[in-house]
Amino acid sequence: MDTPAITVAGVSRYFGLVQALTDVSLECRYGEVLAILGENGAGKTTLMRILAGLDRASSGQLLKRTEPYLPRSPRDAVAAGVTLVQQHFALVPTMTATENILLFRNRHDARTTRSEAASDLQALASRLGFDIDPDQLVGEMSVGTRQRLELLRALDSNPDVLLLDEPTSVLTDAESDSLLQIVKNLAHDDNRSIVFITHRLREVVKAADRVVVLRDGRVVSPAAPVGERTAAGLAAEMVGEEVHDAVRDAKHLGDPRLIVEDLAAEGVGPLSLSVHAGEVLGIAGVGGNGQTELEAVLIGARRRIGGEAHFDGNVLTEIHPRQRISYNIAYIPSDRDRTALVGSMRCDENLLLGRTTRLTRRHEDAKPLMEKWSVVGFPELDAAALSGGNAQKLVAAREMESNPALMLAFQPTRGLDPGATAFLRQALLDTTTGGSAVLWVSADLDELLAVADRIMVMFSGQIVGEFEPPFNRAAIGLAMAGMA
Amino acid sequence: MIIAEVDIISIAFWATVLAAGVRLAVSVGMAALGEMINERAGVLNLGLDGVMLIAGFAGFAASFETGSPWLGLLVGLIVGATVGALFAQLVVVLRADQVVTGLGLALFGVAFTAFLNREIYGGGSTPPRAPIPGTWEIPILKDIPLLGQSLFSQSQVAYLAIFITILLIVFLQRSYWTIVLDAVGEEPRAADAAGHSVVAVQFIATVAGSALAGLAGALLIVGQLGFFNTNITAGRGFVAIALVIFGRWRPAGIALGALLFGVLDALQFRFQTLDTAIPFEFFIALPFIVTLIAVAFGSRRAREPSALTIPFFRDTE
Amino acid sequence: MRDSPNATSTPTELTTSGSHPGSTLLRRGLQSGTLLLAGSVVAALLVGAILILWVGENPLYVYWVILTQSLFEASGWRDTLILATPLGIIGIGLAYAFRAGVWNIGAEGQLIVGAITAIAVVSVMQGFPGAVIIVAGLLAGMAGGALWGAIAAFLHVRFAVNAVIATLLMVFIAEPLLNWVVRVPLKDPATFLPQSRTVGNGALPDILGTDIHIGVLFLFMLVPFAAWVMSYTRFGYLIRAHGANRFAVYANESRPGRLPFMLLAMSGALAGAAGFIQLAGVQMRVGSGTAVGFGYTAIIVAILGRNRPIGVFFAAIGLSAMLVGAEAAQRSLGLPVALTQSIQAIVVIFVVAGEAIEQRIVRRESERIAAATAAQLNPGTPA
Repeated sequence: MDTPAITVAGVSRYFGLVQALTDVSLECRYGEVLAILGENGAGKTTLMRILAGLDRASSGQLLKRTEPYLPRSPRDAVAAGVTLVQQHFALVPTMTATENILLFRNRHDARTTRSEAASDLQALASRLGFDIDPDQLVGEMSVGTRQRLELLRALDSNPDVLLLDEPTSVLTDAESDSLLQIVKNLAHDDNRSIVFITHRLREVVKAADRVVVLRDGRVVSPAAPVGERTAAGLAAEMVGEEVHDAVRDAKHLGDPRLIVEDLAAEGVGPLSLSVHAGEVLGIAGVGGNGQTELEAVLIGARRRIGGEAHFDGNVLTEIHPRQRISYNIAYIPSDRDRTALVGSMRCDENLLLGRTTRLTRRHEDAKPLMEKWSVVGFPELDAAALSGGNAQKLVAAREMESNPALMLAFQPTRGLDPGATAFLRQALLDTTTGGSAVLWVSADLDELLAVADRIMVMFSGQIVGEFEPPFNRAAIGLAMAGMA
Repeated sequence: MIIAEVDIISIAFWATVLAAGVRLAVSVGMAALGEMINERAGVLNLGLDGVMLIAGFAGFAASFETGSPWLGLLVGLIVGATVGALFAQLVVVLRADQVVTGLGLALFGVAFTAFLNREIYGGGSTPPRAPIPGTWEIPILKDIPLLGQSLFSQSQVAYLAIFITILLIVFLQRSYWTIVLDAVGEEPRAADAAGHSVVAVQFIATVAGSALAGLAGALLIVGQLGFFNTNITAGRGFVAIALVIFGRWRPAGIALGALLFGVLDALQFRFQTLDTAIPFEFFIALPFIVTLIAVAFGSRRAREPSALTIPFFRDTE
Repeated sequence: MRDSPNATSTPTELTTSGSHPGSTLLRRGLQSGTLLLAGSVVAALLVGAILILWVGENPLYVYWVILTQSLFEASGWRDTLILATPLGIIGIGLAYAFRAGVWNIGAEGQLIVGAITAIAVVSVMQGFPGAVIIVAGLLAGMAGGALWGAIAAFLHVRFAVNAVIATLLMVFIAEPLLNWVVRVPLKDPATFLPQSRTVGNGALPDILGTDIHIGVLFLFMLVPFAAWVMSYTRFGYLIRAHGANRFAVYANESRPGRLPFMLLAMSGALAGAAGFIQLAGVQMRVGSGTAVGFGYTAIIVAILGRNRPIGVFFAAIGLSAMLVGAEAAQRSLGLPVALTQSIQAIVVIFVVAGEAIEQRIVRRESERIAAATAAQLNPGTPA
């Protein structure tokens, strides 16, 4: 019993300057469910990818039982009995359940005909109590069914170590409860070793035997039996406890300017909120809880299912980008590389995007603007050559130079160096002095605690809590983990 | 006029048209089947016409020099595979743009074979002829009305093409490799996660597809015509690409489509002098119109592979 | 579209951080592409030289003949310009589309339909003065080409049909249409050949004192205009931005699909214009000489011109000169034109292959830099 199924010893992973994982050590035994709890960017997915052969550690060692374990591909991992259930891209939507099972079988397997795969699939499904039609196209399945199929497919190779990456992120509570029960049984009854990563405390409590908390790529609390931990303690460890809770004075706020009522779109809502003149409304939440969907519907890019969003009486949903700009709404997108800048174009050309500045004056206009916003670079430089912080300052220069009436800022400082972060935070705060409204969506709770006049927490596409200063970090942390 | 009307309803007329249709479908259908294989792996080979010409010319040379058309067909297959390997090296391994590389290959094929033909065989209006395989008449069956002439009294190369088509239909229906092939073309990340090498599958599919395209060129030039001329495929490679779409990336659909094209083409020759109510060219265009509508409104399974022309990069690369 | 997981987007961010001056310099040098183009041409000429040697001629002499016959002789110049005109006009439209990342490979069909609509309009306007007919014919040609491009664009934008597939299939619909038009409604009753009547008064006059039709001027006016639009107008700016990152355009400028639609219609219009100019300047009738592959060759012109109007102009001239010179070489030396065409195709393949290799080098280089930086910052990491 006591040889761990899988051991991670001092593993680090660097992506250039970014340390995704620093000296992570943990182990998972046979017959147990080990939960890895952490926010987005805590390094959970990187760890999973390394274990599954999709990525490699920069340093450190992996052991499978007592043998060194160095998977160079998912195939190696499966051969060693380690299988990952990924969040995305793992199923082919134009194929049936059976075909997807077959795809993951090694060609050297004896059982590579459709009928064999179909009967295996049905046998496994009925053992776990799933209802799956082997001939249904994956593209036509509900997300819940797809998730169950993912699990079945992972179990098809009969692994002794099963890795689950946010397995319930798209499921309803009832669906996820039944899935977690099955996961538990797979560990306890079949003596498998199961590692699952999540940011939901509720699931940790429901399914895990032991829990490890990961933050900023480090283990902040070593594995401990779940029974010995309190939800509040885990939540605090997950979001961190740095104490720069600079209590902000309650400001006198003006009239509501941005009004969102029962707004719903695919993957988000219905939710309601309002941002007043001179106010910073912070939206906290672990990434992937509907923030990008909220962003898309608020800037008019995603079709709404119901509800409304108005700014000073103007409808915001399903509008043309130029219309948004004519309402003097500034927008800092979360997907900086893809939607904010054109990397292979010059800085001065990027300053024109969505603006009415004359093309011929781009160069003269750009120079002072870049200096004013302290963008280290020059107008002729390709935007892609800017560092992350300078690129974001360039976006800010473009979006905020015209004193916007509303600022929609999505993860504005994610991944930036401290200097640029401080600069941008101040710039965003400064816009409120003129009576502008700021909607600030961030996965960084510390940031919101420092800048927001009010904080709402998003979880599973919904607003699950609203907090006013002085902020109660622990309560917010619980809300972020879905325990509001 | 009256003679023509009588003609049109006679079984003999349709039997000839059908037989000619099968003959015309052989090469273009084989090329389309080849293209289907690489497209299902996500690789578009717009240079199909070039492959057909280069392989067809090589096959012709082999057939002419040795007097054996069967050897010519084999050479066509091998040269097709070789050209395919070069193309795959460019677009799969180096990830060069598939559209431009393919067009370059198509243009190169026309020009280069014209050049070689001129240098080696004079390129005149009376090109040298190589022997072509004979026909097989299958007793009794060949006397079946309407179908007998078209299906059981054909050139030997037509039987070869039909045999390969049936082989592909069966193989692609049932096989494990079909699933891997389609996954690479649809969701390369999923195929990668399942442990299949996307690059290897695309490379092999491109070589296999070009081999069949090469064979297609040889079927036409070595197996049916027995001589070579500048641009002798007359754009059949491009028609084959459209056929792949018409056949919705399925061998049976493509075979049927090729047959339909062949029959329409055969009819066109016979109708050219007639003044019909609906212009005959409309029927030539019809399959393409139908194809466009089908691609636009078809379900996702009826559409092109999602990753067609998109090079694959693994995240961690 | 697909999002790459968070962690993996970091390397790209890093590679472009500009902390390493070498990477930017390298990228700049490669970006211009002139070096690559020259290298590809030289390499292709070397391959050609081997083929010429095999034929038993002196490559240097052959190349000299091609050069002098096309560019240093009046008749060569004339033929070169006349051939370059349709190629350059179509090429500029395609360069616009390609620059925005929109594949139009159906210019052949757009040219055919443009020629058909042009001859239809020219035929019914025979009583009018020549200048009026020419303007009407040109506009009709552009309208026809634009329509053909717009149908493909509609399917592409509205139903997400792959642009390559949509534009290519439209060629196969245009070809039978051409055959029918010259066989039935627009057939010249005076001949047995399937061809239309001549353009009559709609024929393009020659430039004063030369025997070069005035259609050539259209190219000469179009090139600077197109270059100006591309570099100095908002439209050109949006095209470039769309090609480099269409999501940024959709988030800040225009709705998805609008620009691709406009560009497919516009490049179709230019192909249609070329269809008219070739009809009224050279062919005089719509018939077997209408669909001779200019639509495909123009793709090569656009690619070799690096999708820039000035580049397209020189590519069109260069390609045409090679072909005109090659015809002269065929007459005087018996060297087939096909050899020159092969060399042209090889240039294209070398250019795309070279581009791919470049990108691979840039990628490798930036990965190396990222790894080196990481190793420096985090001692103990295997570099």
